[in-house]
Amino acid sequence: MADKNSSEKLCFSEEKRRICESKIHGQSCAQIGSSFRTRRSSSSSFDSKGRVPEPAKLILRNEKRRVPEPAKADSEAPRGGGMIKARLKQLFKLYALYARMDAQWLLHDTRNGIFCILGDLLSNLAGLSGVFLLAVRFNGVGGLSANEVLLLLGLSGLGDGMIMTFFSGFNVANISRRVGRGQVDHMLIQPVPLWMQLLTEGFLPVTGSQTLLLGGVVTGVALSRLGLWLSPAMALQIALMLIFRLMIQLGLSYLAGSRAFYRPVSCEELSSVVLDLTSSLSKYPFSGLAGWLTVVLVSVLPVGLMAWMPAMVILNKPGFSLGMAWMAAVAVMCAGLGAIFFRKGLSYYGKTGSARYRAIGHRS
Amino acid sequence: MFAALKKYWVTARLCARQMSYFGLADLMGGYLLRLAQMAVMLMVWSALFHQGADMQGMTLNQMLRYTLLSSALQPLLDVRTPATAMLHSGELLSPYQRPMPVFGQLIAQTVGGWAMGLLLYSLPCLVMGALFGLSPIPDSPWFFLSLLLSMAQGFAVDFLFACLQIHLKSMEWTIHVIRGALNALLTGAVIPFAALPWGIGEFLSLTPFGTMAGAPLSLFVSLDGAARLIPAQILWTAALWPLAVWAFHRSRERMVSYGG
Repeated sequence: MADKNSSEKLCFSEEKRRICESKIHGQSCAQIGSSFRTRRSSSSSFDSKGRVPEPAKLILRNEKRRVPEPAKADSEAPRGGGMIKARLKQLFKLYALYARMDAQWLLHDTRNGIFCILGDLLSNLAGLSGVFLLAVRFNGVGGLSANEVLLLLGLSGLGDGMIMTFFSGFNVANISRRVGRGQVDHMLIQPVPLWMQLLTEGFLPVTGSQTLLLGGVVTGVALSRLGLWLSPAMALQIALMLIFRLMIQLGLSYLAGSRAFYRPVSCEELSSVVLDLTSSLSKYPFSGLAGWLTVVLVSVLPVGLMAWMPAMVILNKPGFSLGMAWMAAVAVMCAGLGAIFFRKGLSYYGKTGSARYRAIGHRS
Repeated sequence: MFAALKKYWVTARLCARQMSYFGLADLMGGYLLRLAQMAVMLMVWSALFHQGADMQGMTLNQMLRYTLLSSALQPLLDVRTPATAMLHSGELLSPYQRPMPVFGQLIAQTVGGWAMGLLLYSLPCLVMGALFGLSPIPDSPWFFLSLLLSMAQGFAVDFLFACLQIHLKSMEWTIHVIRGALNALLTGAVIPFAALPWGIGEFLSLTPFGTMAGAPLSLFVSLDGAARLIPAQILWTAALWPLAVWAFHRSRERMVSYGG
């Protein structure tokens, strides 16, 4: 079949060449209009004298694109340290690609891009303002002063900003949408490991970073009003706590979202509910609550670990010396549970697939 | 007249049933979110009172009832018709092909969609509140008129946002987040105006957003007087509805949508 196709291409090109040469263009057919490069195998059809023609190659004018190299077979893939290096290189290339795509969206559709950025910024400002205005009005809320509440809100904004910047694109954080809509297939056929896709596809450094910047500004203002200096140790502490928060929030989202493998329609928005719940509740201080309730909010429903406990640790409040260790433990547990149940769901999906798409291509 | 209203009733009933199509998980997810947010606000108010904050005459019972009712009646106080979603999906052409006014259909669909939430969330919340000593009976009878005016105003505001979406070429998500932000801060649904600093509440309570949610809630717990709030609501309703009708009519030719 390949030979037949090749011979058809050759005949077509030969005919085209004859037609072109009969016209007064002064150009060869090889230089006219084609947008792809063709190669003919040496076993393609014979010319009029029975000779196998040389493989022809169309030369494109001002050609800049290259056909990507075919993927190496597993036997040729680097191993050990080489593999890690190759994966890291691939990871950064993907980050660069998605960053470029995000920037291109803003440049191609600047008005809509700016409206989206402003809309998200306004939404986050409003969310932070509510609790802060309460704290100003009543000289503090939940055992924290107004400036301490501001620090809590800044940390909450930083956490939300991390989710938006690194995982909000293409519903990576709202994984139940991709699962429920049957879009996992699109991921499974990619020549990139699933974990790498989920780590990179959500990267929106241009249009998704306004919340991160807002959180950073609010945190900086709060620290200066509290007379605290952002030392390298504190910066590392904040960075670690943000990573723990990411693990907790994404772990819970993936844990809930894995339900969508079994109930794709009714659970399509489950991850969004979890993310909205944890994000909105993270803005409140939980000091002064009943003991049992505080325990629930830092364990079963760990919203207290997202901004309140980090603020208490940074402020060196008594009773929170083991806060970082507890956050790490809960983060590992949430991320672990999310990964386990997601894999179980993937395994189930491998047997059942998704019935969301009809034969005509529309989603039911 | 009954025959004229029957078609709206049938539309509303269809939409009420439609709410349960995607299953319990889809339905309960939104209620869980509202319940959690209400619970946290109730805890915040309790903590404020226990820490001895100066509430300037407001009692704990008032604040708790305000928060409870705000959560229970949230769809009525923040009216969202299917107009914006229909614009995005291209289904807004369908109402024009039916022998009913477009606004009437959208209102009927919205009201029908409220039924499930009122039954499964609002009613249990009010009953639970009553069991914990939070009376569901309004302090002022003007609450009911205020609620009706609030819903009327809410529909007008939603149609105006739909017109904005048409002009912004169907940026549904951006409009949605902006409305969420405005609702959180400017309507008094989450934080009563009396609890805002610097006198901001005095100003916001008379704005179109403030009268949508803050007015009926304030009347419910007698945080403010009807003589000040009802005329403001009547004024805004009378001003926004003609504007909404005119803007929607003018925006009709600019509708651009896509389906799939």
